[in-house]
Amino acid sequence: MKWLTHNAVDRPWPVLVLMVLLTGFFVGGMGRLESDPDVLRDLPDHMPEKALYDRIGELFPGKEMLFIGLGGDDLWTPSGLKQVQDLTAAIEGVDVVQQVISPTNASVVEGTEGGMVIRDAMEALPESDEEAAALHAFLLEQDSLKGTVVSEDGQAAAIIAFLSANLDTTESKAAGRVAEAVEAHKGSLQVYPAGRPMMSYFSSKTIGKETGMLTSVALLLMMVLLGGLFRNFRGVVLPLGVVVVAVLWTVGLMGWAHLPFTHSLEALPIMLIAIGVADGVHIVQAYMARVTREPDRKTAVKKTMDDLWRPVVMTSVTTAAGFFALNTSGVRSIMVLGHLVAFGTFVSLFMSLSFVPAVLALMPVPKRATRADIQDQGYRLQRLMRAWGDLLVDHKGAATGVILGLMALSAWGATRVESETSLMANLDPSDPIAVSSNFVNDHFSGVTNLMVVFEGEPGDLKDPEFLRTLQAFEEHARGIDGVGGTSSIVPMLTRMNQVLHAGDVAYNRLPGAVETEQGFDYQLDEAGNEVEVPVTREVSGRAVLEGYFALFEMQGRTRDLTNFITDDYSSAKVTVFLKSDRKQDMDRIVGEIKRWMAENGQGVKVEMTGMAALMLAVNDLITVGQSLSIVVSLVLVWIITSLMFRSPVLGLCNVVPLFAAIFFNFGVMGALGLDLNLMTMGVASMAIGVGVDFAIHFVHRYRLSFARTGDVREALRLTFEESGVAILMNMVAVAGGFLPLLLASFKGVMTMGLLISLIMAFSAFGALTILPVIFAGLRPKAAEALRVGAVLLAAGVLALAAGPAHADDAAYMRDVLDKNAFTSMVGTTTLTLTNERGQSKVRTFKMASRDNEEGETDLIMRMEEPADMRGNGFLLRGKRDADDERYIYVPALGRVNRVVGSGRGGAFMSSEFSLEDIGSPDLEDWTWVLGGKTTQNGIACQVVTGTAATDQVKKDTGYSKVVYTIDATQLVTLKAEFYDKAGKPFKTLTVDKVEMIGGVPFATDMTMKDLASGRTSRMVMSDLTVNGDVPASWFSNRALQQGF
Amino acid sequence: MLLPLGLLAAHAEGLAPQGYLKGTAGVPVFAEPSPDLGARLQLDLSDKSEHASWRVAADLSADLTGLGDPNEAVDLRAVEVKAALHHPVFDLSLGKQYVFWGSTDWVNPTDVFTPWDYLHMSSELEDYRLAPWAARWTGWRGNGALDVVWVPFPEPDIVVPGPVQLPERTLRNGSFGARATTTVAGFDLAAMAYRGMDKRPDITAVMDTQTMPPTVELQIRHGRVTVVGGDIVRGVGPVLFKGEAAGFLTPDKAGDDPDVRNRDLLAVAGVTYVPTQALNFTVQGTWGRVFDYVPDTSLMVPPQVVDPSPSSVDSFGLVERAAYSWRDLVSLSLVGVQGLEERDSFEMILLTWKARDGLEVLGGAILFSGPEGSRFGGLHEDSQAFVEAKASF
Repeated sequence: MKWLTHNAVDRPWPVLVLMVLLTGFFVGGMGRLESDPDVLRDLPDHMPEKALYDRIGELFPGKEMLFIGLGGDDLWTPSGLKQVQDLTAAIEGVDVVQQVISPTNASVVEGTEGGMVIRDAMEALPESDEEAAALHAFLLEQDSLKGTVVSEDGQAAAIIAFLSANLDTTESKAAGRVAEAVEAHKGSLQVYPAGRPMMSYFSSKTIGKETGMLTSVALLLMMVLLGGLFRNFRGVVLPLGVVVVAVLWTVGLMGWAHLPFTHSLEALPIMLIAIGVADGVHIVQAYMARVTREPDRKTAVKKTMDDLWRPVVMTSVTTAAGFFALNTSGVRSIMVLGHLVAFGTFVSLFMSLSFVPAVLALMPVPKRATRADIQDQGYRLQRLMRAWGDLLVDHKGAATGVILGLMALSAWGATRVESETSLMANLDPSDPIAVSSNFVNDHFSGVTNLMVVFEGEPGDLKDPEFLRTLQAFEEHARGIDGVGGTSSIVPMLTRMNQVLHAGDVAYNRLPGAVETEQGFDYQLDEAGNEVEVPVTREVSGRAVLEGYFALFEMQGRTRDLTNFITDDYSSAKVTVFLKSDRKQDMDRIVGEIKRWMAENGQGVKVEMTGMAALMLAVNDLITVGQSLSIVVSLVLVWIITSLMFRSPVLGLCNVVPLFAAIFFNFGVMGALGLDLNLMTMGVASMAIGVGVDFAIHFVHRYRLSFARTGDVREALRLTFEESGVAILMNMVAVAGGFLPLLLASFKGVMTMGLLISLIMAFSAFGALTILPVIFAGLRPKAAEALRVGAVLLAAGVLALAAGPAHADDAAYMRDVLDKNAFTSMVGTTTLTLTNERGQSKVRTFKMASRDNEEGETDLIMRMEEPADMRGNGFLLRGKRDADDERYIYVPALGRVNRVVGSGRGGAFMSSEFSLEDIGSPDLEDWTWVLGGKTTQNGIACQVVTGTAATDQVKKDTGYSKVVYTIDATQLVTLKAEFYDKAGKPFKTLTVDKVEMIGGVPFATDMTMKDLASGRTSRMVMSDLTVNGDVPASWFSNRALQQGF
Repeated sequence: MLLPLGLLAAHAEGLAPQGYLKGTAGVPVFAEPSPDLGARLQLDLSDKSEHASWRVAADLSADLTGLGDPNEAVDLRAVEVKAALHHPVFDLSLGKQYVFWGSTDWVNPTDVFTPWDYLHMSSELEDYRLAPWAARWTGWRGNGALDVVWVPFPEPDIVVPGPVQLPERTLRNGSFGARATTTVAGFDLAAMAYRGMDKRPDITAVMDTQTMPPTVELQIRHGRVTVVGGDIVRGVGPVLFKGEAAGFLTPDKAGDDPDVRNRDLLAVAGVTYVPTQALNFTVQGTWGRVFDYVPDTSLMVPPQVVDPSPSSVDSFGLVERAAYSWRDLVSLSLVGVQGLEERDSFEMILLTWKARDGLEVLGGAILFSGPEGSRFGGLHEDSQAFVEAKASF
């Protein structure tokens, strides 16, 4: 990772070109994107409701129903009916429509002299108002039509369109085609398209448009907020650039992988934006903080990335793991969502480690960072955050009380959260979709449906008992509150039965098992003429029904049966219309129907499906699956962060604010009466992604700061200054950015905007309040005990983490080096060399150093004393990927000579110091392990041991091991022990004086002792200027010869 | 009298005089023993401001061997007398000053202004290099520089035996050189060009027929030459690679003038290995090629002087150096320069004991060997062993 970040800094243009090319590739895939808002497609096939729903397509040619409600003053006039007729024809002409039933073509059974005829309700278009009124009255007399194609009050009409069971497109798109046909032919009629597919079509169209527009507004607002917070261009471009590219790559990948945009994936861009901004904000914030003390921007970028790549990787891995946990949901589109968010998270990671440092390396140092007040006191937000940290530490008891109080309130709120599937509930009553649905629900049986299929053997439908079971079911269903009506073959058959019995209402029923039929027989009278003779005969009900079905066939009206019964008369479908699509209503109705099925379904196979049943199943699946995946995510986050931090306690510290954020989220949902649905569950997943980012950055920084200072207050201050500010900025930008979604007309989108904003605030609250309170209240011993306990608990998992990893120990050492780092130094050094006999020699030289453009150190020295060495000079130009360039100037030789070093272990100016000693150890050359705490000169210290990482390091430095005793507060070395290549004690360094110069704790008086010989070298530095302006020209052959 | 007055004036101006006082004793190694005793006081005054600097360094040397005529026994010689202007991008220096070019050790083909004088090799720079009066402009850019030197009048740059016949002291006979240096990918690169006096003088035997019997007089004169060359240095770990080469274009284009040096090329390449900070080794090879070589057997060349016409087309040589330092107290340096064709050599051993800061005692020997007429063979008798005690202030 370090290689990646450093290369991005050193070679930014290739990185940017590569990024543009890859982005181009993925954007190319966006042209192949498809949309599929059909949630049912995501259901697992083994689900009974889904299996039956699919099988209905095989049993019946039509499946889902669309309702086109019709109203208007001229509806029941000749012209109105003409328009209905045209509309019917237009809908029939749409290729996805299998059958259309309207007031003009609905089948009616009518008695004739010869018996009975089945015909269209309107055989000819009425030519006068009277004829139209007669038709209206006729339709109202038809029980099978009342409540379906003509309203009970006669004011409205409806066209019912069955979508083909074998669609070549989604039901939503098919509904769209019908809607277009209706729009084109509606004429002067008031048209109210409804039905679940129609709602999906219109809502996805509206939601998609609105979400797209509001997301753009959100991005713009985020730009403004980030700009205001960072007050520079990079703070806007980089975090948002990361997420925009992540979204483009992820959506482009969907195109190339032929993954359609489903309902579940509609929130994908928003999720990636909310989750992906964090790392960019943290990096820019850390860079802004660092560049105040590190004027060379490339060096500042590299050190920032050295510091942050680890938590950035950690946050990405945990977020990705959390979203991979969505695999437990069982819903395909949710699983795909998890994979895509994980992919987008890794894109954000890649961008954060390459694009961000590359652009930072190209952009000039922000002027604001060089302001004196900022360099002295930090940015205003840093001061604010420091104060917040102090407040929490000072009042941790009160803060704990507030947190617990909020948790209790959330617990109360969480119990009030209800799950909801209703699309209608998400609509404003004035929304055209809501108006249409309400029109159909008010005037007709209802938009939402359940399908109950009665299955038997071929021909069973001709058995009156079988049909009576259907009829009993329908009667029961119609009696359930919320059921608007039912639809099946039964009313048609009872009507036929009545008609064929001379309209006798007593026969408005299904035939019995045996019917006594009054008929005529033809006999020869006495004259030999054939005459009719009334007779009474016993006829089986089955035979009667066979006759009725035969009449359908004989009159060519079998199409009237196709959506009610199967061709082999084995199965029948009863459609139950519901007035409401609210989950609690559907739950109740489905429950009652299931109860009836359990009690009365013996001997006949009865199954239920339909949109209502499916939506309930989807809801249950998603709710349970999401809940499970949240739990799994939390566990995964704990395991991963425990492994990463090598501390189960710190792992728990990452999980607690996540858990709290989710808890608060549900609490607010309950308090505000927001339902739990597909979208709001997605926000809970998002909480993990966002919260884990905040928590890891905070915990990572706190751990380093605490190890460094050993003081909770100071550690929290340092943590708040950097991570705290970044978290606050992130929260404000994203939460504020998504607030415009509150203006959405679709309640779901509005709720999502609100919850995203809240979840950002809760996650930030978790990191910036709960974590500090935990840290402030956790006693070291308690922490250790908790750690041990958690280790035992996690032993099975953590045992997998083999081998010591000292990433954070190294990070501590990096902090030490950073704290002591300076960009330039000028001063006079007096070196007193004392041999074993106590004889001393003194060397005085002027020395200057600075960090060069490669981030390496240039050094020049020029001797002033003793006289015979006066004017001798040494120049070192540090090189990143090559040997340093070293030169000496000896006046006695008269010219500058290039020299080479004999490694860093060589004596410096013939003293006991080596070049390695007077410089800083190279972090990567040593394996760092934090040791115990100790005191040196009464100062609390941290012991850090570095072991040479390679034999080459041993050879170069002359040391196999170094043990530093570091002032835990100032982070300056007070003592050091050096071990030779064989591992024997070699030298000791004691620091007698540390001065704060130029903001850097500087050891100005130190003594190195050779343990074997007893010789000592004391180095005293004076006239020091640190981090001043040292010109590059000082590190030239010219200065070496002439002085500086 | 002048010396104390100068010191008083310096103190009055707030300047701290620097320099050294040393006593020397030397004995010939191969010639008849004749102890050579001497003493030297060097005074070095300098001052520097942001835009200007000056330096005056002079040696007051006394030959204590015979203590004869004090006018001959005491010698006052300017080491460097120069004033300089400093601009952020250039220096302009006027006066008597050293100009060191080249990067290899002990043999520097491009060091055309102040070359090595092996005969007077000592621990002091002013003994083996002579600073000319020159105007020098050096432009700086990053790690690179352009050095332009103009020596307006011909003057000797090494101490040679016998009379030196210099060209007429006119500006027309001055020398001009330029050297550009830069560092690219860790390589220190330099390219130079020079037009002026040849630093290796031609020695011509001139027969004076006016005397009876006729006598032969050796005339040493510096011809004009154009030199084009360059050098390169690269450090890799503990090893330093060095190379330097120069082509000398003399007026003897045909190569048939026995009195004029032939056109030739001299190249040096080698490595310095620094296994520890206290120890280093240098090994270099030299290669010389004479162009347009026409042997002239009729030339009468006294055995003591250098023949301007080499005896072969190609010549090879070696340079070695080993240096060791013990705890900044004692250091030992061994140097050898050998010509492989003529089998001549220059060897030097130098042992320094730093008794205390500012006080050192050194002893050593400079040895020349080789056949008569060879570069170092002719100096055989000048081989010397010596000791010095030096106090710096």
